[in-house]
Amino acid sequence: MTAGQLFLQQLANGLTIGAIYALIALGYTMVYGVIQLINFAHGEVFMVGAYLALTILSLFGVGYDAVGWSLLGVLALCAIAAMGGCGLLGLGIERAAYRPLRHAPRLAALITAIGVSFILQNAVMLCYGATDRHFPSLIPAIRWQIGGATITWLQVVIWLSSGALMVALQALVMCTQLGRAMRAVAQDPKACWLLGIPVDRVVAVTFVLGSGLAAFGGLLFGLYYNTINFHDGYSMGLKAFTAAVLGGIGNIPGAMVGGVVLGILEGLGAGYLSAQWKNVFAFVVLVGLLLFKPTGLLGERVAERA
Amino acid sequence: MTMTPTRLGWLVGFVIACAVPGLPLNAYHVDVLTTAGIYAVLALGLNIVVGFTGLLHLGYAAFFAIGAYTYALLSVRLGVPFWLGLVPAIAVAGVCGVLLGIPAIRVRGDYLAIVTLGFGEIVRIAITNLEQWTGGPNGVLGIAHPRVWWPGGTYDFGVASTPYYCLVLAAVLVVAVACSRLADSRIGRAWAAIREDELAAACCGVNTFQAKLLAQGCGAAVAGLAGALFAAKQGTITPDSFDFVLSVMILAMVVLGGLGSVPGAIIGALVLGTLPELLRGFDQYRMMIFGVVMILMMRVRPQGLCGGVRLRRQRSVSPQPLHVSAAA
Amino acid sequence: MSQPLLELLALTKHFGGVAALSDVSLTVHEHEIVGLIGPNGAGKTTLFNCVTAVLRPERGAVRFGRNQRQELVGLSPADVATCGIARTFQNIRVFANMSVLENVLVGAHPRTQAGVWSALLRSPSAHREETWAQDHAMNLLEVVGLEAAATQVASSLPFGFQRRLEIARALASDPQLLLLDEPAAGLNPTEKQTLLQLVQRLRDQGLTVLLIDHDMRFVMPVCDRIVVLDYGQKIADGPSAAIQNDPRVIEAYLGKS
Repeated sequence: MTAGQLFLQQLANGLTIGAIYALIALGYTMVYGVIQLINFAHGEVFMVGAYLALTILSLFGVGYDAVGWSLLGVLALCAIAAMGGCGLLGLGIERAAYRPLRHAPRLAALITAIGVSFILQNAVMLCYGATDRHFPSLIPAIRWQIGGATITWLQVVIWLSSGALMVALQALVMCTQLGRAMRAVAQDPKACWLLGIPVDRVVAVTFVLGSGLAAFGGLLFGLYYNTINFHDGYSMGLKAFTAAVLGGIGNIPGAMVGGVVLGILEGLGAGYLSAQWKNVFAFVVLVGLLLFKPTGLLGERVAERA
Repeated sequence: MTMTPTRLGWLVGFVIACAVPGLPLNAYHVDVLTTAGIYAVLALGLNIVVGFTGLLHLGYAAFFAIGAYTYALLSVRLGVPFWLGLVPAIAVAGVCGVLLGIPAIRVRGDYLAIVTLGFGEIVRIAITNLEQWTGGPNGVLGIAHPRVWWPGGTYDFGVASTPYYCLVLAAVLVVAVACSRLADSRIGRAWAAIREDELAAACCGVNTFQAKLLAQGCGAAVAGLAGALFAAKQGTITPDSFDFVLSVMILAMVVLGGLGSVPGAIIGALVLGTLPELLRGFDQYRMMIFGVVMILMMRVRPQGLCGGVRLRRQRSVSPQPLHVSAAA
Repeated sequence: MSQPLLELLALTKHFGGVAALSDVSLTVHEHEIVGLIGPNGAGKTTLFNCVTAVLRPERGAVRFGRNQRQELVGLSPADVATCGIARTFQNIRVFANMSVLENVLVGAHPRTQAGVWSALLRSPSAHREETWAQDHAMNLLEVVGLEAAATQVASSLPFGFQRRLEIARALASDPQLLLLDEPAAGLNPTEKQTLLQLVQRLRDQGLTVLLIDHDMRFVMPVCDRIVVLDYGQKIADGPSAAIQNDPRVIEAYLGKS
């Protein structure tokens, strides 16, 4: 492979993982935008989404030979079930764990979030075992050679589907009443409460949306990497959080941009540096950002707290 | 010295702790208590950073690792005996605490937690990857146990559990006394002032930069001590003993005992440190139980068992920009 | 005429497009009690924040000190406090989880030195210093009338007592200049009277005071001189009586008729 081909390949790979980061990052950024909480358990929701998708697929006794419309149907059902299930999970977490601590000290919310994360990890480990689980790669293995790099149909599917969801989210946030309410709560929750906007409900919806997107990311993750492990939530979660900060926490387009940029940086890094240090790389980016440019690329959107 | 209920409690606890080697417990139980004791040292150290000074720290295990590896490598590579190796372990960890604290000085609450988490993970992964120096994922083996010399001969601690128990007990006592003295001093009050209201503390003349670094240095140094003790006791250390879960566990111990409370840190460590052993059969549920404990703690008794402080939402350090009213 | 202690020269501070302070110059002389008044949003607290280095002005200088004209802009708030300026805050900022006595002890931080080793080893000199600090703090609590509450947690004090605590804490560093930001706000008339007498007593003991307040019945009797700000600019500066009748001041508060 020439240098140019390597670059293109890593770019394509990076864009793919970046799309998944973006989907997860959206959940972090939206929740931080409305209630200024780093939802530590969000990575776990992503992981649960992947496992839910796997469970649905196993229920169908998925012949790895499903094609065409039946494949589409199965995947769609998978996606809906995973997104729905995780949406409920996110809702439950918000209601049970976070809402009572809405006005509590920071440390309490952080510890609670970590507690929820631990519980979810352990629960999945108990149900599915501690070892890696195989996730079928259902998408037909069609490839194209573009500029010397190999692009697969799976990658295109990932780009298109995540792109579509992100566009849909952006449309929801900018053009609907619910979206306006979300933006308003992110700016000034007290004023919203005074104006009669149901802040609690908006927060709940934010959690549901974020969790649903993360779950879809989990499905894509499973299809792409073909193995899932209960520990993936922690590592992917931190990287997605990095992406959210990179784009500007609270900033929805920022999370999308941040995810893609981080994915590409990581892809290039893995190609040119050693793979062992890949994970450190993400942490270094995260720490560097928080120290030197916490507002991120597109600027953060968080309510000023007195 | 007047005998207050608190002092009496301390005394009783001390007496019981000293009596342990004499009690009919098997080596395994003593070992569990020793491990809990090492956790207590860690909790006391983290208490300085989170409890006294109010700095959210999620990467404390890194300093534990640095202390452990410093002594381990000195012992294995250079044959440095334990009592001598303690000093660099503490010093190196302390210096790292200060160095890692410098960039994080201006980072606000939530983000500080993530930055410290990031540092913790970077240290752990670096230790795992730098195989030439640290033995990589297999860790360091053959670390020397402590030896005591006296006119009669030498005594090697070996793998007997009682000597380690006494050593760790002594360490807990020394660190606890040190922390109490620090809490009740000019520097301890400066730390508490920073925790309560950093801006007001600065306007009172407290050099918040120096004080925060000092807190992190002291906390890290204590972790270094615990690390050396751990390495000497285990004889073998691997990087996965020093992960994020451990950092969270120590934090949970401090919070359970009560942020800022010295006896609380010890009690929290005893409770959560012996829990995994008491629940031997429930090994698989370890993380879940911790998670539930942490959530319940925050809902039921956020100030902890011994009544510590509750880290409030920080007032903004910079004043709000001018609000120009439309009417003026 | 006593020497100038604090000099502000053409102090300018912007927040985004808004000029919170525009070319403000004023002088506070030793042993004076100067009042800083003006409508809401005039820039009074911003001025305090610039003097105590909480904010950094874009332009201008702040000079402090009898002989060494120490430039304050560019220092840290802790350095400014060590120079001899202490302040209270508009929204009381006591150390909530610490005792009343400990609050005042923190105020004495610049006048003490003990570090980590002294704390750990409890050396005789550290012990002496600690005893001195405790006595000093108790004396100050007596001055403000809080000695009975010394061991109480600061957050449990009623509002008016917390204000007094803040003043005791500010006095603990033996400052030359005391900045009081709305010290009388929320106090009942009796408390205001006590506060007025306290401020005068402090001035008699050698302190210089610059205070912000809205209540003219408090400001007029206690202040020797009054400076008026409006929209970040100084519009008047003189003895109380002159200010009361200054048409520009009246207009600033009541608007053009």
